[in-house]
Amino acid sequence: MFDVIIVGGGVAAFSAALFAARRGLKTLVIGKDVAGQANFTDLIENFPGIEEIGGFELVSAIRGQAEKFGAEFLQAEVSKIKAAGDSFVAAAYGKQYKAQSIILAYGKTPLDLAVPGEQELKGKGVSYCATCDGPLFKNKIVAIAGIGDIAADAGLVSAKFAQKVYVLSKTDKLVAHPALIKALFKKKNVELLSFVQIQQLLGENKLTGMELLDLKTGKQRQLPVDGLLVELGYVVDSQMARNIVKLDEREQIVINSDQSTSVPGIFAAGDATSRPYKQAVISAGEGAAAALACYDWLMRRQGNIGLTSDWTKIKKLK
Amino acid sequence: MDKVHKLIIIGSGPAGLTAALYAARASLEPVVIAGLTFGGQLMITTEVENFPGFEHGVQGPELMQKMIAQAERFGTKMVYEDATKVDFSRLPAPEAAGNGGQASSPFKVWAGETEYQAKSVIIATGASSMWLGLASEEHFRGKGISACATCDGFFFKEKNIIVIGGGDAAMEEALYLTKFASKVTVLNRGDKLRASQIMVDRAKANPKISIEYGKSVEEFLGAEKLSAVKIKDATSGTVEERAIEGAFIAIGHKPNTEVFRGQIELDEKGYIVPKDQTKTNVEGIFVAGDVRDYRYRQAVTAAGMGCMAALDVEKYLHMDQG
Repeated sequence: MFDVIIVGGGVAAFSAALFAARRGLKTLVIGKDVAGQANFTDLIENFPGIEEIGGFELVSAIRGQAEKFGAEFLQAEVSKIKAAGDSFVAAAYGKQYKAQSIILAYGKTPLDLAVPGEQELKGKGVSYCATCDGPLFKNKIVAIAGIGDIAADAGLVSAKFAQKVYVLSKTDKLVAHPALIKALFKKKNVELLSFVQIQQLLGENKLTGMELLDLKTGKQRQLPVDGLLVELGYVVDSQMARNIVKLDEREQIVINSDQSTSVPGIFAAGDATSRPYKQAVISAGEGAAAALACYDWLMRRQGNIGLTSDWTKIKKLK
Repeated sequence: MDKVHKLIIIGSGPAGLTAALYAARASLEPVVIAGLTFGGQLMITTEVENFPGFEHGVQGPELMQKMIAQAERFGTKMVYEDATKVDFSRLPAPEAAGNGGQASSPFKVWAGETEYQAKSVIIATGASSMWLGLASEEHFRGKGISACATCDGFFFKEKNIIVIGGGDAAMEEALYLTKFASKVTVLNRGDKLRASQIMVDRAKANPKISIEYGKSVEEFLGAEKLSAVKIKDATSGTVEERAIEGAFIAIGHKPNTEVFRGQIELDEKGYIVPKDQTKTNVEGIFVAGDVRDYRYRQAVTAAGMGCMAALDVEKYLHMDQG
């Protein structure tokens, strides 16, 4: 029996494991892979305190840190979680693991464009995170695939750095917030390419261009670009959590401000949650908070003192 | 003062500097009012073991220097002065009438004597150590009483000292002080420690440390320097006088919000009241870190909030420009 099972293998999961283990909790992390979304990022330069680090390297470091304090890691995919009395059972690869509490931190994956060339050029000009990679496209030509809020955001972010930004739409408009659209097309270096569809990404070890289909004329043409930001949204694979915690319409786990979910004893952190920010440092912070909230819940359930805030302390002193 | 900046960040701990890093990378050219004693609480911490990504630990001041360098690398301007006054009132500008009323006069922040103006502000001033509040405590501050073992530990070489408190910070101070002191006694008010198990285990395993429960300090005594304390036992109610040579107060923190009083909504204990993640009751003013968080108070939770605040500011400024 573990005190807590953490589902996931990214920044949020191992950060939660670090804080849980340091609180003396018997901690098991079960992840399908190590690094999650950070795997898609070759170079992170916005994790505070670390000038530059690869995504995989960062997650590996946090994993090592968590293991140093006693957390265990199992590489497996959790297929089901169910309540069993006042504890939980997680099923992974035919085995069952029991714990008093659960932290869900299985992340989410950006949607692929699903065109030829995309898999090969990921991290080589094809990016899924404008905030992460925008500055890397300084003075370059960038295209945005996507027409929603996050695409418009990505356009605004890259317009600050890129020489030219093409926003591609299969119609002649975007569906983002009007204020965002207005701000976007105010930028002199942003241009909307209407009625086009991306057919193929070109380039050997580096993206050099795209093959576009003109939906009006049916003709194909090539557009040279150095970068492509695929901003179609994220998919969450919440299969395993669906029948146990409350999810929103986008399959994201609904969390309260203290990282708790609709089920007492189950907490969530990172990109799998309904919180609208997707950055490594935020996931790390949420992982830590989820572990501390979980610790607090476990302690209180056993009748011990949980986390004491400065508030109670001040009151006691008076 | 002639320039209206896009963003001023007040405070330079993990929250403020992570906000600066993100804002700078988004070309917001943030100005950080870092304070005369910059870097926040980690500057008075030795080894930080729980900042994710530092597998082998990192010294607190070193981590903060790295964060400053990183924020500066992307165009953050650091101002090493204290924020002495702020004006968050927004007079609607005539030209703002057709703009949803959003764009109006800028916010004002004074750093020392200099006035800075900005369209948005992130408050990340953190929290500071609390004191017991005894008159004798104030008298002996710097003469045997300290709230920072890392700063003053060295002066207590081969001395018999006490640490007051029962949380992680108290255990950390006690452990650190064993490097210098001959004997460290932890006085805890309640009958249980609040510190994390790993810290309690370490403190208990250290032969120089002893922990006493149900004990509180009534008065500090001495001539020039601290030489004894009056300790009250909660169970028996008796008061004993004990000779000691140093005392460290590790009982918690209070938010650094004096300068914002009357300008922004604070709760009864002085913490800033957050609305919808990092927003506050004043549109355009955002908040991150320990100044709004009395619960978790970790460097990495503060950093995460700093990042959120910067992303929220970026969105706000896009909207503000129409």
